[in-house]
Amino acid sequence: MTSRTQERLRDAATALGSTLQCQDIPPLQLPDAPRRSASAGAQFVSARPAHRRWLAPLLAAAAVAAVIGLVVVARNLPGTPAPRGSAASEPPRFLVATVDGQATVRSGVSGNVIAQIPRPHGIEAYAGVASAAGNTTYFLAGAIARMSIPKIVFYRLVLGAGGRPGKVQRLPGQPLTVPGPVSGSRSGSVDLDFAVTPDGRKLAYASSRPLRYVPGTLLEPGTPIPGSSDDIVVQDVTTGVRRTWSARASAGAAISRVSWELAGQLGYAVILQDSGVSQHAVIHEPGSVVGAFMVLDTTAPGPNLFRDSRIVTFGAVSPHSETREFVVGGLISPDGQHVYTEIMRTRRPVYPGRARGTLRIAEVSAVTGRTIRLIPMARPLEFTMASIDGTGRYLLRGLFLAHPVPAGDSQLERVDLKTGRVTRLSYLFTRRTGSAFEAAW
Amino acid sequence: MRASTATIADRGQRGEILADPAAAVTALYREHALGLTRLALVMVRDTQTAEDIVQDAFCGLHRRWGQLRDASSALAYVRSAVLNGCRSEFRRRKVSRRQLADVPVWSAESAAMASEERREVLRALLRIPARQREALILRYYLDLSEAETASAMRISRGAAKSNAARGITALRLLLGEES
Repeated sequence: MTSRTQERLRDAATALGSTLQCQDIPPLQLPDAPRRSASAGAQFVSARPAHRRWLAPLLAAAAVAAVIGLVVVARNLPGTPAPRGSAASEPPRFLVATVDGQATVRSGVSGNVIAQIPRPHGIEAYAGVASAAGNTTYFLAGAIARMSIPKIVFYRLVLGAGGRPGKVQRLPGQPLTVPGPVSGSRSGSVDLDFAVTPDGRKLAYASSRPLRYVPGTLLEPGTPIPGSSDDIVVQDVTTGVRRTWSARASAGAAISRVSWELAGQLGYAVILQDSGVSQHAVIHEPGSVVGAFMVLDTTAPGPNLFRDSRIVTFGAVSPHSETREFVVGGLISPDGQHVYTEIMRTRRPVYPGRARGTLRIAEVSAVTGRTIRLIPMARPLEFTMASIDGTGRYLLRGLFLAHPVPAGDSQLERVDLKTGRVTRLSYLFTRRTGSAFEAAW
Repeated sequence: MRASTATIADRGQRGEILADPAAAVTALYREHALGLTRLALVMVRDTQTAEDIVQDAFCGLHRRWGQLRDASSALAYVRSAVLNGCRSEFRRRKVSRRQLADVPVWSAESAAMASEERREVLRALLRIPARQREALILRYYLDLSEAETASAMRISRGAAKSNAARGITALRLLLGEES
C-alpha cells in the first residue's frame, strides 16, 4: 500500500531529478583517456586491449629505459645542440614567474628555482612575464619607481644553458602608463597581463584608460576605473610602435588573459557590463553581463575592438536568465585551433565578481566555438591559467590553495592537455593580500 | 525508475565488452549516468556536485574493473559508490560548517520545483537521519527492491527495511500527516 507520504516523496524527488536531462550530463572523463571528439560523445577513439595486461608495465619500463638511454647517449655526443625545452613529448624545461615584484627562473619539470632575475636599475618591481616559443626567450614588464602613477617598461630576457638568465634588455618604446598599482611596488598590487607572439616580434596587453577628472569629486586625475581594462594594445617589439583597439561602446569591459597564436590572432577573455550578444556580435543590453572569449584579428584596421574581433564562446547573464556557466578566462593554443577556457559553474544564476562556483577548463574549437571536452579535474579548484607552451601541449596554471582568494598559498601545476594528467610543481608561494602573479613557459 | 544491467550483463556474457574496461565503463555510463546523477542530485541538491560524484564513481569503477566478479555487479558497485560520494559530500559540508538548509535546492530549476509542497518534502528529507534518507530515496525514488536497496547501502536487508520504515514515519511526522 502506498501512503500519501510516499507519493509526495516520489513526486518531489522526481520533480527535482527531472530538472536534469540527457543533454546536461557531461561525457565521462576517464583518467588518462585518449583524446576524444565531441561528436564521439562518451565513446573512446581507441582503447587498450585487456589481454596480456601484465605485459604493459614491462613494456612501459623497457620504453622508459630505452628513452633514458637514448637521451643520455644523445646528450653526450660531441657537437649535439642543447635540447629544446618544448620537445613534443616533454614538458618545457623552464618557466619564469613573477610574484610580489620578484622574478625567478624555475625548472618547468619540477618547479625548483634555478635563478633569481636581477632587477635593472630604476625598476621597483617586476609586474608580469610572457614568453615566445622555444622556452628560452622571455619578456618581463618592469615597473618604474618614483612614479605616483606607475609606469611600465618591457624587457627581453634570453636564457642560457641550464636556464641561466642572460642580461635583461630594455625594449624600445615610451614607458607605458598603467592606471593602477603594480604588484610588488610600494603603491600596491596589480600586475600587468601581457602576451608575446610565438616569434617574439609583438607583444600585447590589456589596458584601461584613466578616468576623466571631474572637479568636485573624490577622484583624482588618472584614477583607474576599478575592474576596467577596455583597450588592447599591440606593441612592435623592435620599434616600440603601438596600436590600440578600444571597447568604446561598452560601459565596462574587463579584458584579461591575452594570448597569441602563430598566425597573429590575439585571443582574450572579456567580461562586459550592460552588454549582450546577438547574432555573434556584442550589443548594448542594460543590466546584462557577458563573459566571452574573443579573437582579435590584429591585421584589421582598428580601432574598434569588437568590430575587429569574433566571439568564440560566451555566457551571458541577464536579470531574467538563469545561466550558471560563465567564461571567466581562457588561452588560445599556439596553432590557433583550440581555445582553453576557464568556465565558472555556479549553483545560482549570478553575476561575475560576486560569484563563487566551480572552475573547469574546457577545450573549445577556436573555429566553431563548439566545446570539445572538459579537462578532468579531481576536485573543484580555484586556479588561473597562465601559459601554454609552444607545442600547445602543456598548460601552466596557478592553483589557489587557501582562501580568501587572492591572498594565501598558491602553487603551480602543469596540465598535459593531451592526456589530462596534472602534475604539481614544487613551487609553493604565499602571495601578499591582493597581489597577483604571472608565469610563463 | 528501475535501473537495469541487462544490456551490459548480456554483452558481458557474450565476452564483447569485458575485455575492454574503458569501453565497458563508458557504455555503462551512457546507460546510467542520467539516473545516477539524478539520484545524486536528489541526495546532495547540487547539480555540479552530483555530476562530480558520478564521474568519480565511474572512474573508481574503471580502476577496479578487474576486481569485479561479473559485469552485472558493475551497476550495484557504482550505485554504492555514488551513495558513498554523497555521504562524503555531506561530511565535507559539515566540516566546512555549511548548513544543509543553505544548500540551494532550486535555483535554475525553480520552474520544476515551483510547488511549495515539493519544497516542503525535500526540506523535510534533509532533516531525517542520513541512512533513513538514503533508504527512502532508493526505495521510493529509484523504486529499488529491499534487496537492491540493502546492496546499494551495503547493509542487511532487514536494516534496509527498518531504515525505510523509520524514515517514512519520520517524514510523515515532519510533514504533519496523519498515519
